[in-house]
Amino acid sequence: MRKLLCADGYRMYAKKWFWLCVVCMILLAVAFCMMQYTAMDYVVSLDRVIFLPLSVYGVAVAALVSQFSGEDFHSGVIRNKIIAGRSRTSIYLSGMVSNVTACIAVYLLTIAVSLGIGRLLFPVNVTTGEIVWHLVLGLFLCLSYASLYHMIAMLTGKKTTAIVLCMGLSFLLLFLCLHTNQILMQEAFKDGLPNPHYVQGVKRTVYEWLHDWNPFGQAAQLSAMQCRNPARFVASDLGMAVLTSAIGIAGFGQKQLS
Amino acid sequence: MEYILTTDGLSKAYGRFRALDGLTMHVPKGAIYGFVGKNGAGKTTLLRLICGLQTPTAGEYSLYGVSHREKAIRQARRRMGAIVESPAIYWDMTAEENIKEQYRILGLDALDGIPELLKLVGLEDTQKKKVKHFSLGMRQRLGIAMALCGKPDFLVLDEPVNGLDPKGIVELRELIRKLNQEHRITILISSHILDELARLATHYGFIDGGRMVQEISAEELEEACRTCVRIEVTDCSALLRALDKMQVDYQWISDTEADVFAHIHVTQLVLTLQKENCDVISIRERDNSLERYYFHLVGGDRNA
Repeated sequence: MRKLLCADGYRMYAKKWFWLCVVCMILLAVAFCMMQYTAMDYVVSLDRVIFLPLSVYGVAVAALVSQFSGEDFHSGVIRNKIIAGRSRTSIYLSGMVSNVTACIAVYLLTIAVSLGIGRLLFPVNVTTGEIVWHLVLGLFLCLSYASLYHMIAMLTGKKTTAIVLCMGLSFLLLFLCLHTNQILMQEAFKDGLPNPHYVQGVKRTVYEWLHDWNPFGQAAQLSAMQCRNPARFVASDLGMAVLTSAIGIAGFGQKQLS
Repeated sequence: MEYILTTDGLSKAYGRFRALDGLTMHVPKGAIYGFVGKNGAGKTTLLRLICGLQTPTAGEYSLYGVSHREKAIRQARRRMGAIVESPAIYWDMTAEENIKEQYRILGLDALDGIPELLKLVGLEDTQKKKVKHFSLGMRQRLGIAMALCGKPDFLVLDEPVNGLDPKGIVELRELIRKLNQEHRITILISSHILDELARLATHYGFIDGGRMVQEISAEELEEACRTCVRIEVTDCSALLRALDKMQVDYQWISDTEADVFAHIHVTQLVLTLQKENCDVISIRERDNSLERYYFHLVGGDRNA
């Protein structure tokens, strides 16, 4: 598998798509910083800016991962890997590791730029330890995104369909995140009266779980550096990686390639 | 005789459609095996199975004596190279980059031999040109180069001359012959272009409706396709009696025609038939080509 990783790794970093994703995310990071600096009528602090690009990170890596994993089917090189005697499990895992490392690279480069510009423009209200802690949480988020989109691309077997499904799913999860966030943001009382839109009890727990399981929900929490339940956050990401990998390996193992 | 590939009752069904239906074949070591069949006969399906892209519904196949059910089949497959349907290459890489990528996939530590490989297939001058700017013939040749990366001793080519111009066909034919004769590579070529196969193959397998109709060597095929004389008469039974008396090899075609595979004394035959009130309508020489042989095997003789 080491050799397959070498092959996939070379292909990822030699291709324009990875660098295009990096450039787009960096430009977005700069744009978010500028927007927060110029458009707000109150002083924005650093903690609201560093991880702000994560709000659209999931859409960017959906395009990157689906394009990378789908390319092997589109070009037919997936056949070369099987004919070369590589097991389907190693082919799947090699692709997944390449995607995870690429997603992490995009993430770290984006946050580095965001942090660099943010420290110049905004008052610092967070410690280095807090930044590092949230940075580490973001790594699990990268794992979750990469494993989910990689599974879809490998089971679909067609590049265009994979891109459409991954992008479509990313927007679906984004809208779900907006919905659950809106529900959870409601306060118990409004103007001194009980808020009818406030959810509690089992319903609130369900919404919290949905928000924490959803990678975009996690990104929303990270972007504000307010992770409600880090343990559930990490468990969701690890669970997503394990589950999607198991489904992906099983499905790809049985796939009849034409 | 040693066989590189054998199949035994191999079947593949897609739902209710049986693409392969109990196919049994044997590819001898050192042969150029021409796998002949019309579109939809099951040629590409077989190649997908032996390359591990799909699994058979029934039956089995063996590569180098290793059954496909054994785990060692993956090791056995490393000794083969294949192009199935179309060359599997990255279009936004150059020829050299594609071959390097294939070396990495194969786990080859050194990237030696790439210039020689490109020269072997006639792509040594492509340099920085990306594959998306290649002609179809160039992409086919790069596909063969990719298949040769691991120094296989068994090469599987699926309709390699499709879309090539005459010059490209000749070049590819010479390359295949060179690989077989100089590098001792066993080659399995699937094709429906009989004329090309006739210039290359040492063995043939004719497939129709997912089944092997016949396997035959080139020598046996030449014997079967030898020149004959087709005689058209008013009474074929009289003709057959006359031919039996003359002790010549013949084949009954219809109520009025028969093919004779020998040099006959025409006057003697005509006089003999006249005694039985049988008129000779026409006598013409026929060269029974691979094409005719194939049509005779699978039907469609009227179009031959």
